[in-house]
Amino acid sequence: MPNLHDIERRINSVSSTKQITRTMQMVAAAKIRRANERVEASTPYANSMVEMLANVAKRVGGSENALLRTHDEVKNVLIIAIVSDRGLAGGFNTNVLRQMERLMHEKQAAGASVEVIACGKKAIGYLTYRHVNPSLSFANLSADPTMDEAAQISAYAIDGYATGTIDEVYLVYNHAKNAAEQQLRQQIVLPVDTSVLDENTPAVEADQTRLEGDTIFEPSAEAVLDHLLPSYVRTTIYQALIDSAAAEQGARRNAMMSATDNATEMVETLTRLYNRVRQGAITTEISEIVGGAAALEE
Amino acid sequence: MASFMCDIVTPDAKLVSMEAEMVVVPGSEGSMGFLAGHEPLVSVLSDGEARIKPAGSEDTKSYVLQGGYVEVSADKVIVLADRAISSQDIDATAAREQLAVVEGKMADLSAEELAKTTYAADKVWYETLIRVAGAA
Repeated sequence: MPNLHDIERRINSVSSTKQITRTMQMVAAAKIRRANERVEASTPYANSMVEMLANVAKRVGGSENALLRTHDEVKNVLIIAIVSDRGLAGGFNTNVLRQMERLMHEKQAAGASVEVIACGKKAIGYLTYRHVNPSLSFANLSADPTMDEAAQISAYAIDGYATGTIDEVYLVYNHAKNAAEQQLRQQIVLPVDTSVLDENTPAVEADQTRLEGDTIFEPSAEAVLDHLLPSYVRTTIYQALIDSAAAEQGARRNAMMSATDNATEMVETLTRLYNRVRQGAITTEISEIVGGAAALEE
Repeated sequence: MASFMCDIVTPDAKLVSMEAEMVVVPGSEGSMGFLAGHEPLVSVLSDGEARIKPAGSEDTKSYVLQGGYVEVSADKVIVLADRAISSQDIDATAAREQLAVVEGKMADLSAEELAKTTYAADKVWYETLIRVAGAA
């Protein structure tokens, strides 16, 4: 039987942990709103961009643009893994990292060499431990991604793809489906597949007729496309970064919520045990006293 | 005068969404002006100033754009820009200081390292800001 003092100490320790997890839960809940606002603010730009690109691509048809062309032989693959800087967010980081690892093995088994861009300290740590050197790494930005970060990543990817040192680019990140649910996403960034653009944007479908026909392109449709594609890649990456930031807060709130619930349950169980042990001690004492008194009477 | 919707959108936010009578943007081939009922058009923009004349008002509003596109359709003009700011909000002194900082950073880096940063774009941005502020 554990003694009273031990149980009391455990109750105290669990309660103080509970206080921390509850605070973290509330902080994350407050941050979700801000992260979601940022996602919403950038949505019009992304939508217009996709819509414009879909229209231009349809118009240009088989373009010779380097970013649209699929490389026949896939020898070098670039994976952009987006995770957070901090842990305590449930499966948020592990899911992405495991998927990244799986993708790496898959590509390596197919005979390609894989390089990684790590966004978030957790990815950097994970890779360092496995002696993989990330091509680019970004720390301390996961909660507050910037356009600059996206611009650097996309410049690296586009440059590599255009010069032929990279044959495929993948994004692995968490999508914030809603405040409570995250969804692991793996997305191919390069080559840009314009055929999926139409399906992904309901807006395009509604406005299908809007830009068709006698649209004027200046300087020319090809030139517009050449300008649009790099911006599109950058927008895709930026979207993924802010999406992941929103998902991180959601995941953390969930994780902390269940931690708080577990702590509450544990305190309850321990309190019950504490009371039972205390009552047991009292019972023992009484029977000892009664026994002692009976012995004296005789 | 007939009016139409005009939006200026950046990745960070929707900067402008208003009824306009006329929009003038810095096209890559020279300035272009749009009135209501313009032919559908998509164009690359050069860095510079866009002017919007709101419906029923004489004050023309001016915005500085970098890395933009314009899409004109039947009833709407959408300007997409990497960066955009209202010309009224430009702080020319701050922009000059920033420009000096960026140039200083650029001087320290090799061409290869420079390609990994966005300093070149920053430099153009501050130069554009100063230019527009000077003209206004």
